[in-house]
This record gives sequence, C-alpha cells and structure tokens, in this order.
Amino acid sequence: MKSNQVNRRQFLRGAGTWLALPLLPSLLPRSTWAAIVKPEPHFVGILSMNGQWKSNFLPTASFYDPSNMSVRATKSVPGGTITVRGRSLNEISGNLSPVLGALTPHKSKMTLFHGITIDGSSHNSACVMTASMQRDNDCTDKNGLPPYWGTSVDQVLSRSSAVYPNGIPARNLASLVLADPYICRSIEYPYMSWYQGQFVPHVTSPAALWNNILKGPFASAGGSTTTTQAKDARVRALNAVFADYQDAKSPRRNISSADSQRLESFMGRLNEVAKELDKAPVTVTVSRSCSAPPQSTIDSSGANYRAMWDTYSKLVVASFQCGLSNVAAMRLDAAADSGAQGTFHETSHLPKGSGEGATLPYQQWIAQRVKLLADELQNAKDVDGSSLLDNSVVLWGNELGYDTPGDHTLFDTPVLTIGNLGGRLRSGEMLSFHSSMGANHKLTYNSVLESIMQAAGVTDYPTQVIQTYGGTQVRGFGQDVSKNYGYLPCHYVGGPLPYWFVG
Amino acid sequence: MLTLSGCNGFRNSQNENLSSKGLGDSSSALTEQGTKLYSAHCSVCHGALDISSVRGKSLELIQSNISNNPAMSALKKLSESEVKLIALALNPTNQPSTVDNPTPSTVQDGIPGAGSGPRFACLNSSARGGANRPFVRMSREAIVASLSTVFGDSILGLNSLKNRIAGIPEDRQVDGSILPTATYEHALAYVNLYNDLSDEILKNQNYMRKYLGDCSVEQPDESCLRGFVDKMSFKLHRKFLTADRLNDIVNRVSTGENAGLSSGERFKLALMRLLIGPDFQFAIAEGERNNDQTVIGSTQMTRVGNGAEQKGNSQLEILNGNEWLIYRDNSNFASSDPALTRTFEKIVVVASATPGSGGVYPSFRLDWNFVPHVDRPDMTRVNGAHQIFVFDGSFGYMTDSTDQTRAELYNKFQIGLSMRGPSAAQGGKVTIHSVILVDLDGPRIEVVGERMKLSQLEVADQIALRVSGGIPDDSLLIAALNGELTSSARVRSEAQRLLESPLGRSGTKNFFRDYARLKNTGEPVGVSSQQLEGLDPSGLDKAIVDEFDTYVDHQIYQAKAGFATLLTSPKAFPSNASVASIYGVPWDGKASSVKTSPTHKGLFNRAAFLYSGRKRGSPILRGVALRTNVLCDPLGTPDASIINSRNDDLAGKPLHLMSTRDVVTTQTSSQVCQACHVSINPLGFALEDFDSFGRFRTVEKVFDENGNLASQHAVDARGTGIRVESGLPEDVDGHDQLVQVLSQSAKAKACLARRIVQSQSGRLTNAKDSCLLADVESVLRNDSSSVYEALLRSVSGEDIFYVGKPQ
Repeated sequence: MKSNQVNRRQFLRGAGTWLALPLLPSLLPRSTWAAIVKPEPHFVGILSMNGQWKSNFLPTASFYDPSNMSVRATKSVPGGTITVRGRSLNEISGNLSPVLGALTPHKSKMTLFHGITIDGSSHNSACVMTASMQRDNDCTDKNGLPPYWGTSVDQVLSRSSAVYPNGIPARNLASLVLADPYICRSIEYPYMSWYQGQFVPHVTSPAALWNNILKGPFASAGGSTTTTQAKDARVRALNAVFADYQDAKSPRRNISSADSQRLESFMGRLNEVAKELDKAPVTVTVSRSCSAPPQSTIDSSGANYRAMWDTYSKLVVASFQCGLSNVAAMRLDAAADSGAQGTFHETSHLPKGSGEGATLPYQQWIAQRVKLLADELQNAKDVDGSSLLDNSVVLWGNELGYDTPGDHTLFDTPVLTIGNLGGRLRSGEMLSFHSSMGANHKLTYNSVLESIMQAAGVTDYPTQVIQTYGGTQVRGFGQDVSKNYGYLPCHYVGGPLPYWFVG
Repeated sequence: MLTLSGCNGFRNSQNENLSSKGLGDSSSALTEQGTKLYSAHCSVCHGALDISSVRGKSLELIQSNISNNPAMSALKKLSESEVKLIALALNPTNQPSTVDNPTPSTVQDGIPGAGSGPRFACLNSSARGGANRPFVRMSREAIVASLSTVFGDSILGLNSLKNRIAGIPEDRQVDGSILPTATYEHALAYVNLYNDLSDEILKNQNYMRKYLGDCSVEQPDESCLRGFVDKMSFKLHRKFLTADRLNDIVNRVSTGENAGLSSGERFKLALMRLLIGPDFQFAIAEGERNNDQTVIGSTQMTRVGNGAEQKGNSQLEILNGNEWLIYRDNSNFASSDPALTRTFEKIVVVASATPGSGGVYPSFRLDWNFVPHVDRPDMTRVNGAHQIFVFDGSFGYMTDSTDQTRAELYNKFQIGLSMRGPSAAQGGKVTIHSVILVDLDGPRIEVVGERMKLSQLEVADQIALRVSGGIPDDSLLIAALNGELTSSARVRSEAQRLLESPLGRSGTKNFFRDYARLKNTGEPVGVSSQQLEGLDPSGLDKAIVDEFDTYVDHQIYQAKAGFATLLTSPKAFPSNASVASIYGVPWDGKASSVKTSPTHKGLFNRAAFLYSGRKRGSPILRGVALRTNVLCDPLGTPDASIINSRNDDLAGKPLHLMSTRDVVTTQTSSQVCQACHVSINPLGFALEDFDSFGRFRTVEKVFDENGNLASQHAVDARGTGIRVESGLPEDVDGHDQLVQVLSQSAKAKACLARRIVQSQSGRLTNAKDSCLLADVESVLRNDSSSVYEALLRSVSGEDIFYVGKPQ
C-alpha cells in the first residue's frame, strides 16, 4: 500500500452520513497517514462475579479431559513443566455449554481457558484486570487504605502508543471505564482501574457516558483538531522546586555527600515525573463518518438494567468505530430480571447439587450481554473493512474460581476471550494448562494479561517488584504482571502464554 | 575456589585481633565476599547479616556447628576459606561491639545475653543520639500525619484526597524502618496528592487561614503572597526561609513560564513547591548554630477583652481602647548589646488567643515596623490557640546599615497589636509570648565527636516524628522557638502531650498491631455454620481488631500496665455478642466495657492475633509471630519449592482426619524444615487450645470441604522446647503457661525495647543506640513501671538532642 493512499478508514469517515469535511491525507503529517492505515487494537475487559460452576460454564468434562486434548506446547517452569493442551471448539456441534450457549456463534473467535489461577481469595474483582493479589482478604489495610490494586491492564493499554498510534486521547476517552460503584465492601473506592497513583473515574450510566465523555467528541467530529493543553501545574511546580533541591545540597545546609546523593536520587524521580507529565500536547482526531451512537438516558434502576448494559456495549463499539477510544472496561453484574430465585450472591453460595441450577439464570444473563457486545463488534467495520471484532479482544474474567461455593478462592478461575487481535492471539480452541508438579499447580493468570498486552504491541509495561524486608514476600505492586506470583502453587511461564500468543 | 592468599599485605593492628581469633585477614573486599557467602548460605536460617542471630560468632564455633549440627550439614560443601570469609563478615573489624550483643552467650537467644539479665548495656554514653540520622526520608505515614497537623483531618477525608493518599506506596517495613529511597511511584503519588490538595485548599481557604491572615488568594498583592509563603514554609519545613529562597519563590510564580498566572494559581504553585520541596519530603537536621534564635521579648502581654489588661516588663503603650503597642527603646540596650550589632533575617512573634465566653475568639492583628518605615501589612486573625507570625527581616536595613542607624531603628522597633472581636463582657484573651530575632547564618557550632547537637526546632522535629509520626504542632514549635526544649523533663512533657494526642494514640495502636503482626484476614472464608457455632461472621474480623485496639489503649493509657500485665491480663473488651462468646464472657450489650475473660490472657491471646477465619488456625503463623516479633529471633525465608513439595506430600493424606498439630508436624517434619520450625512449632502448638477464631477449646473439630464435621481430636497444646531463654521453662502446656513464660522473659522485654526504638526512629538500631536501648529495657524490666513509660522514655532521654555527625 502506498503511503499517500486514502485508506479505508479515511474513506469511511469521508463517506459517512453525518456532515463531514473530507479529510485530505496530504494535509496531514506523514506520521499520521502511516499510523491510521492500520487497524488499531481494541480491548474490552469484562468482570463478572461470584465464580462459575464448571458444569455450567465449560463444555462437558470429557471434552477437556487431558486424554482427549492435544499437546500444543510445553514450557519449563521452576520445579517442572507446564503442558498446554488444546482442542478445537468446532468439535462441539451444539451449544458450547449451558452458560456459553448464547456465545456459540462466536466460538471460532473464542478461547476458553482451564487451569488458570489468580493468587488470592474472596471477592477480588480488581485482580481480573490487574493480576494483582489483594492485600489480605479485604479491601483495607490497617490504616484504612485500599489493598494493592495494581495498575489495570486497560490503563496500561490506554497509555500506549501501540494502541493509540495517532496520539493518546484524553484520559476518559483512552479507557472507557464502566462500572457499578461497587468493588470493595468496606470503602468507597469505586473501581479498580488504576494508573500511576490515580484511580480512574468510572461511569455509572450510559447517560453519563454519553453526556460527560462521548457527546462532545462526537458532536465536534470532523477533520482533525489539535488541543494544546496548558502546561500542567504539576510541571510548573516541579520545574520550580529543583532549585530548592539544589539549594539543599549546598554546603550551607551541612548534609553529607551520601545524603546529598539521596536528594539527587529523589530529584531524579521528580524529574522523570516532570518529563512524563510534560509530554507533547495531545492531538485528538475525531470523525463524523462512523455510525451514530445511541443517545441514551437509561440508568441502572430496576428493569432498565438489561437495557443499560446493552446501551453501554453499543456506545463502546461506536466509540471504537469512530476512533474515539480503543479500550474499555466493564464490571458486569447480573440483573433481577434473569428469572432466578435468590440473589446472585446467595445462589453462588449454594453447594454442589443445588448451586448449578440456581446460578445458571444469572450467568446466562451475563453471557447474553457479552454476546451482544461481541455481535456489535462483529457487525462494525474497522478501517480496513474487516470486522472490528477481528482486531479486538474481549476478556471476560471472573473474580472467583470454578466450583468454589463458600470458600471463594481463585484457584482455577474462569477466563474466556473473544477476538484475537488480528490473529496475534490464537482462537477457536479450549486451552487447558497442566503442571507436571501435580493437579493443584496452575498457571498464573498474569500471563493472560501479559499475552494481551504483547499482542496489542505493548511491551514496555512496568513490572516492579517490592521485596519486603527479609525477603519474605514478593508482592503485587503497580502492574507487576510478570512478577506477581508465589503464594499459591501457580507458575509463571516467563512471558506470554505459549501457543495462545502467536506474536 | 576462594582463597585468602595474597591478602597478607592488609594485616594491621586491627585485624591482628581478628587473626588472633583465627579469622585471618580482613579487607573490605574479603568482607564483601563473606557477605555474599553468608547471604547465599546462612541468611535463610539466621536472618540478614546486619541482624544475624549468629553475629559475632567465632570461626571455631561456626566450623563446629557445620560439623556437628545436622541442620547445617549442607554447608559442609563450603571450603575452609569460604567458612573463614563468612566468619569474617560476621565479625567486622571496624565496628564496636554491638549493643545488641554486649555479652554474647547462648546461640539460641535472638537477642544474645545471659539468662534473665539485661540484653543491652550503655557502653558509651557520650555516643548517645549518634545513631540518629540527620537526614530522614518522610514516610507515607509521616507525610499524611504532617498534612493533618497543618491543614486538619477534615480535608484529608475528602474522597479525592483519600484516593491520592491510597496511591502512595507503602514504605514502612516489617521491622518498623522506612525504605530509604523513594521510587518513581512515590514521587508521582506525592506530586498528584499535593496538586489535588492545593486545589482543595484554594477552594476553601479556611484550610490555610492561619497562614493567609486577612489576605485572600485572589488578592494580587505580593506582600500577601510573601507573608503566606514565609509562614507556610516555616510550618511545613520547621525552619525559616532565607531571604534568597523567599525571593526566588515569590518571583518564580510570576515570571518566565509562569508569567500571566492568576493570583490563585501563583498561590497554588508556591504551596506545591513548598510541599514537594526537600524540607517537607525529608527531615534534614543541620545542627545548632550560635545565636540562631535570640528572644528579645519574652514577656507575656495579655489583654483580656476590653477590660483590665495585664502587662509585663516590656514597654507597653495603650494607644486607644483596642490597640496596644509594644516596643523596645534603646534605653534597654547597652551600646555593646550584641542584638544591635547582629544581622538577622526574621522577626518571629509568638502569640496566642483564647476564646471568651460563648467560645468567641478575639481577632487581632499584628503589625511591626522600624520607624521611619511604614507599617508592614502582615496581620492575621486568630481562630485557634496558637499563632506564629513570621516577619520577613529582609525588608530591613540591617545588612548594610551602620551601628548608629541600627540603634536608631531599634529605638523605634514596634509591634502593634490591635484586638477586635469579643465584647468586654465576653472576654477573650490575646497573648504575645515572645518576640524572637532569627539569624539563619550564625556560625555553626563545631561538631565534637561523632554526634551533632540539634537546634531547638530540630529537637522538636525529632520528638514529633517519633511520637505523633509527623511534624511538630504549634505548641511544640513554640516551645522550640522559646528555647524551652533543653531539658529531658521539658522534652518529656511535650512527648507525653503528643503521646496522649489522637495522633499519638493512633501511632501506639499501629505499633502494637505491627508488634503482634496482625493481618487483616477478612471475614470467615470457607467456614460452615456448623463450624461457626453461632458466631456471626459479618464484620467479625474488624470487631476483633477493634477489641485488640481497645485492649491496647486500655493497658497502655489507662491501666499503665507493665510488660507482664500486658501479656497476661484477663481483661477483654468485646463489642458484640460474637466477640464476647470468643472470650467466654457474657454479652451485656455494652460495647467495649471491661470484662474478665476466664480463658484469654494478654496481648497474644487476643482473638485478632489468633484468628485465621479459615477451617483451621495456623500454629506456624502464630509461632512465627512470637519468634520474630516478640523474641526478635530472625527467621529466614522458606524455599517456595520446598513448601510446594511438602504440600504435594500432604495432598494424598486424609487431612480431614488429622488434627492441625498432626498436619503441621507432618508438613514440617523433614530435616531441612526443622532447621527453622524447631523454633516455630512449639510456640504455635502451645496456642492450639484456641481455634481458628480464637475460641478456647479442649477438643479440636476438623471439618471437611463441605463444612461437615469430619473428625475430633483432644487438643494437645504442649509446647516442647520453646527456646525462649535459658533459665525459663523449655516446655509448657497450653497458652496460660506460654504467656507466663513470655511475660517473664528478659529477652522478650529487650525485644520490645528494640522494637519501640526502631519503630519510633524509623530505622534499625545499632551500637550507638546502646544507652537508649538500655534505658528503655530497664523501664520494661522494672515491674513497677509501665509500657507507657517505656514509650515515653524512648523519646525523652539525652539521645533526642543529637544526631550522628554528617559524613
């Protein structure tokens, strides 16, 4: 493809139904042409609650019995070997499973996992997006502070030029964070999305999403607009404060050379912060050629709940299609209109024998919502004419594991993806991970997120480790997706998941 | 193969001594090699080198143990030279004998020392305070406590700021010390916090009214900004801004890239600069200077309402009904008065107001001037107890003026006080406590020896950081400005005030939570109602921690309990029926009232300490907490692969038919595990008469994965070979005997002394702490004294007046 050719996305934008000023590629910087001819990666993270029964969620047990699956790859880990077994979902002729029946049409783009573990236990939604283990089992530490909420994968993606080659949009657009204002039981922190010391605001209703985030960019779509942000007050303050650090090192202050170096070190950190905050102004390019998103005033009350989530999905897909955002995260609870007896949480505590049937309506309700999102992505066209779903990955994770009523552990947790990021992830299979060290040894969930980031082209995610005094713990901190393991007998394979990650 | 050959050239008189012990030659390179070898082969069982339980052990002893101790047999692979290097690392030549090891004796004592004798001895009283660091990074807790002191708790309760505070990485380590270096995440989190904090303060200027006076941030008056920066800087940094720095801050916010900022933005920028600056992020002690503070007017001047006034011996002139004038005239100065021939940079007026009837505070303003200059507009209103007015001396004329003109100026040096507000009937009082000239460039007092004497303000800093965890409050600053912090008794009274304050009590609570190694394990998980036996799991984890806190607060602050009582008292403070049932006391509906438990005794029988909230309790975690935190015995990190292997071995056993003791015994039975677990399990087993919720039991009930009762076992709570210290019983039967032994343990008392000093100072102790540790230990060893007294003693000794010489 010639670099000055009008690409499909530009064509679509120019030929849209909204009033449009045609974009003339020759008027754009060359870097912009190069960046926008290629479909950009899209990510939707979905969290749901209360675990799953294997018999509800997975295909029949014989389908994923190791003897019936093929060995796809092996990987040495400390103490043994991890074996990746796989089996094509196309071998299932009917519904994939009671819960996943609705998603059966997407099975060729789906990956279903078995044998993935997140360190931790009890309700721990944050881990689904962060892979961070919780601080103990509750939401606060002794000082009333929240647990280790590692930087979430959506926020890592939303800060990456690999995901936004044309420039990273403003924070609210970079990752659309949609959540009920509930994650922790004891404090008000509404959502686990976290980036460099900040909680990322969440959106609680489609109306808010539309009015506060999307309306403006959609309304002003057309042509390209460069918004030069005023220099951040933080940068001004940092620029000024360096003189004080220099002064503190002066002989008059009588500090030792070693302490002077400590000051110098902290200055270095502040300087890094200043550089990060003082990056070049952001250009947000918006277009009117995409499909008009629904304008909704639906809220989460009562029977509107189903419609609310469906509207969310449409808004997310519209914003992807229009190039406003490439990343979204949703916490998807189940609604009262699912026909179930008892609350979702109550039914999840029922023992084997009665729990499967009681939770099924809720889980099916959620699967329906996931299906609608997948359908919308499938039907939307990306810049090269392909399905938006082809260049996306939808990650559906769960805060709890399989078959764990009452004990609420994450030992073997339900994970499912739809979409393969342009073929950079393998799809259409159920993958099962087995350890040579025994049945209780699982593969750490960190690798799932790491695979997604690398498939999206993000390779510079932070992997900081805090080694506590005496070396007794390695614990989650920041993103930490490659290092956060060790409490449970689960294994990190040292990078993306073998076989699933194609590269 | 490592070799010591070729190192003979390093031999000198110091390492002659080492050689005489059979340790060979010494050099930093060899020590470094030894340190690496120690870390690789020894630290797992004996802890990090700096706190090694075998520090100071001779080469012969090490070689003997490798040969004869089965748990150390794996080290036989080491060459003789390698063992020598390890011994060298354990016996550094350039350090005095350690405080913690004044009289090395038994190997099993984590804090070595003989039997029931003291573990610490004051080896060199002239080194007191020399271990204190002149440069300390402020921890997250210190920053938050400091912001609370300056701006109040309410602003930190705003959700936006709570989120920001939550984003600051934790940096206090398990031993109480602070990570010495900050990360990028720290830097970013602080910058974000200060940005949002400044925004909130600008939205509601009452948060900084004391520092604004009658000014507002919208007021485009540079003198307002100067006054604000001067006062706020003093409060945040506990030291005075030099004229140069003040000018730089004020100029910077309106020039260059900041030209055109609004007045509010300039205030914000200045405030953020002060917060991000080195003197708020670090506690930096520079040492005392000569004549750095000269009190020229310490007389109490008090005006009560509009009625009768009291006046001291300063010159006082009543201008009219509501205004006074205090001044110095040169008749009070001899011509050789040093105050006339010194330059100074600041005039500080310490004043306070107290409300009249109805709680109405008077408002007042202060002006000062050197005639013939016009009045400075620095003035303020008071709505709190204390005010410190910092006036910028650089306005004046002292630097280039002659002695004669200085004398003329002093002749008319005036501070005017005008008072408004309450009526005469309402009363109300304004007091000027002192007028102080501050010289920031006085000659530094020469440091003699290895310790540096602190200035008064730096002493205040030391007290506050140790007791309330943040920077000094106004009362402490005023005591420092008035030069009152020169005696241990005066320091003690300030420390006591802070220890009793909400911040101090909170710090005490957190200290004991760390001491007992409490973990917030959450509400019960995986536990059936059959196992709960009537306990309400909702909020149970928090309720038992509340009980722990109340127990601590009661014993420390109200009962003024000694060490033994703290560890053995039967008192309990349940806040609901479930917690009451755990302690075996009837629930009378009165939360946190004192009960006497028939089954639980002392700090380490608290439900919060015993609780796991799971199917089983954990003798291992209980034992580790006692071994490391109560006895200060270091334990290494277990090898994850060994743990996995042991767990795999357990997987095939009928665990639901085994008692917890049997499970742990099986799990840790291998020789490699026993190297450490021989010190852990007996302590934990002695608490097996408490279940996973802390309930007393004589029979252990084991539940299967479905929560059904699977087996029952008579509790065996014998702890055989508990290794507390020589002279105390090695074997105990149950929790009662265990806490009795611990409460009598000299080592445990010494350990608490060390933990108190480490927690308050935010660093590990070293040889120069010997006297302070001995002081605190002696308080804890005194049966008629209290832990409260030990907490105070740690900050009110001579050590508080010094830091180590910067080097």
